[in-house]
Amino acid sequence: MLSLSGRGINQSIPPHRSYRNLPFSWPALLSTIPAVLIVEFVVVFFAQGALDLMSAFALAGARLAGISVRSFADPFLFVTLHPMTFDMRHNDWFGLLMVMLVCALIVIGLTIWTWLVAPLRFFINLNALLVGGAALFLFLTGHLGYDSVAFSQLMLRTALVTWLVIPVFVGFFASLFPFTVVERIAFIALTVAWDVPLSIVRYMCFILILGQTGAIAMTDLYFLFGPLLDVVPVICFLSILLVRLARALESRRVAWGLS
Amino acid sequence: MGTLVIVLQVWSWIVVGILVLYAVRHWYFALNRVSAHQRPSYQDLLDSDLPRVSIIIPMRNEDRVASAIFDAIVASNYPHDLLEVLPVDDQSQDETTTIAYTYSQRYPFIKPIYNLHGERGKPNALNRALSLASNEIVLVFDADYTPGKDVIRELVMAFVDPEVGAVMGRVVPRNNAKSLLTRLLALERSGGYQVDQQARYNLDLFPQYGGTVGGFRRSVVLELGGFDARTLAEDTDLSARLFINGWRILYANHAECYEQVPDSWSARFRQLRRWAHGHNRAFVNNVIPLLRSRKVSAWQKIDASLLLFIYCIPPILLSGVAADALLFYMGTIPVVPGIIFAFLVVSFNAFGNFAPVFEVGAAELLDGGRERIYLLPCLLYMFLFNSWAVTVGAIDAFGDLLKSRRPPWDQTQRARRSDVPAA
Repeated sequence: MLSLSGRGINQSIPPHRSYRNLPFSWPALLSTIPAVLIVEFVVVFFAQGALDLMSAFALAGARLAGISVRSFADPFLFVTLHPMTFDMRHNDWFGLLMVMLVCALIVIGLTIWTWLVAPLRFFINLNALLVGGAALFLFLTGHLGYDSVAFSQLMLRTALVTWLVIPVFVGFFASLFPFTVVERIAFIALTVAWDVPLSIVRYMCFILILGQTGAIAMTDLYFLFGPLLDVVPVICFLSILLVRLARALESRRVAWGLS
Repeated sequence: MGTLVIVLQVWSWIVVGILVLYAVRHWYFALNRVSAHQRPSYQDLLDSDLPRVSIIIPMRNEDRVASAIFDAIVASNYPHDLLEVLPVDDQSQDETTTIAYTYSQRYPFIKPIYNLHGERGKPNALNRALSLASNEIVLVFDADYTPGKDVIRELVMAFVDPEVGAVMGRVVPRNNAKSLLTRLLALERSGGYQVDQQARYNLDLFPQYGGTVGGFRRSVVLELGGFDARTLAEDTDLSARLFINGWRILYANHAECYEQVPDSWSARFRQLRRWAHGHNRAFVNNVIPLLRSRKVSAWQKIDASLLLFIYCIPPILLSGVAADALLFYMGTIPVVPGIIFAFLVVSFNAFGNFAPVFEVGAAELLDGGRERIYLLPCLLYMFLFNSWAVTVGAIDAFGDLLKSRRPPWDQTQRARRSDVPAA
């Protein structure tokens, strides 16, 4: 902000928004690369421990819920995963027909009755389509692509790859904004630090849910709720940091670059 | 089954590749806007020898908003004796005709045109007004827009440059306090104009003439055949044709015009569907001539093609989702593209009017936004809604194209005037 207070005028005149730039420097942008690398290094260093904790937590949860489980070793990239077999409810043909019917009714009902706000209707419809599609696939072929072992293996592999991919994505976002190096590292580290416990709890919850519902819920859980829970917090953290940044820009004496 | 899996996996990778391309493109735009030198328009030019200008306002059943735009034009700083305002009453069935007539009695430079029997629709209204306009420089405002006091002068100044064929101003929502939808649309607009349009203008790529707050040279548009009545996005179509023929389009970020964004989900759905229909039609009509044009550089061709293609992305994205779901049912979903796909969906294409989350965030910082930035995650709320509306519009467009049908004109439902605070 261009301050005129030293000239006897007690006000400041911010430039019109169409003229503004953000305070920006190439070293700040380039500092994103070491920031990402540092977090990646930490992820690689602690990944085995986190994945072991993920498996142990899910095993304990499943046993507490009375689900029979057994784990085994599975080398993947630079770690050894411990996916497990667990009992899933068997879906008989009548149950599958009922699921398909209910899903079809939901889709048709929400298309006809529009009292619910449109984005929510579309979200519910997508869930119904995924569950109904899984039920139809099971009904026609007798099996879904993933049994309990394969699903467990997929979840663990996905968790590891997600922890490795998140810093790159967050760095991609963060590189545009005038964060300090510390803020940059904190932002990237925070998202990973959030995602690790989230993955641990989510894995256990998914196994408990699948134990009760059978394989028909698998697609919806893995395909929709999994990524949603990973990505939404990233955007939440970004918005919180941007609000902090906006306040800082307003309070700084010379905040705006003028092009 | 094996072939199907390979086809689906390849398609999944292609979709990821397309999204990566767009994500990098928008990242570069955001980087340019926040850091690089901003290319000025001619808004600061003070010229005592102002040109005469015709202002066209297509109107149909606009009695909720008509007075506001007439009042705004009357209150503008542009000398009234240099103005010719042509509201085109497109067979209104409400009080629009009376309002236009009342203003024309009070201000002689307002000269209503009545389309009583001809074909309806904005392109037809514009063509009709163009044939009657008496000035070379023509501005167009939608009836629900409220131009600021200096906007007419700032837009008109662009035409001191003889290479400029059209100019576009910035759209700023004025009813954003109404609901969550209007607030989210305000965020989208911010990203789309403050960052996306300005960056494309900075980089000498393809800033788009948006048709709601902008202008063009009458002789040039007539020479190009006027507005294409077969498209629902006559503005995009005109932008492409101007560009192909070597005319520059100038984006005036300082020239702010205030609009009422749709305040109901059904109105927004219809608006997006119409845009998708028109934009895809413009893509089909113009992409080959664009790629063949000798008056456009290679980078401009790439950017213009990507822009014209952008309303094809949601259907492609949804097809990628369907392919991945099928791969999951078959137990063959690849982990890495699956995850990258999810991140790209949410971080790029999930967000509104094709302005990714980082673009909206940068725009809000530049606009001086604070607490409203907390709404960024809520943009995800619109992902499926936007994707489906655009997909339906794309299906409409290609259906009409195959059957050589002329699309029916659809107008965005206006917010009630009482709902809108003064600008």
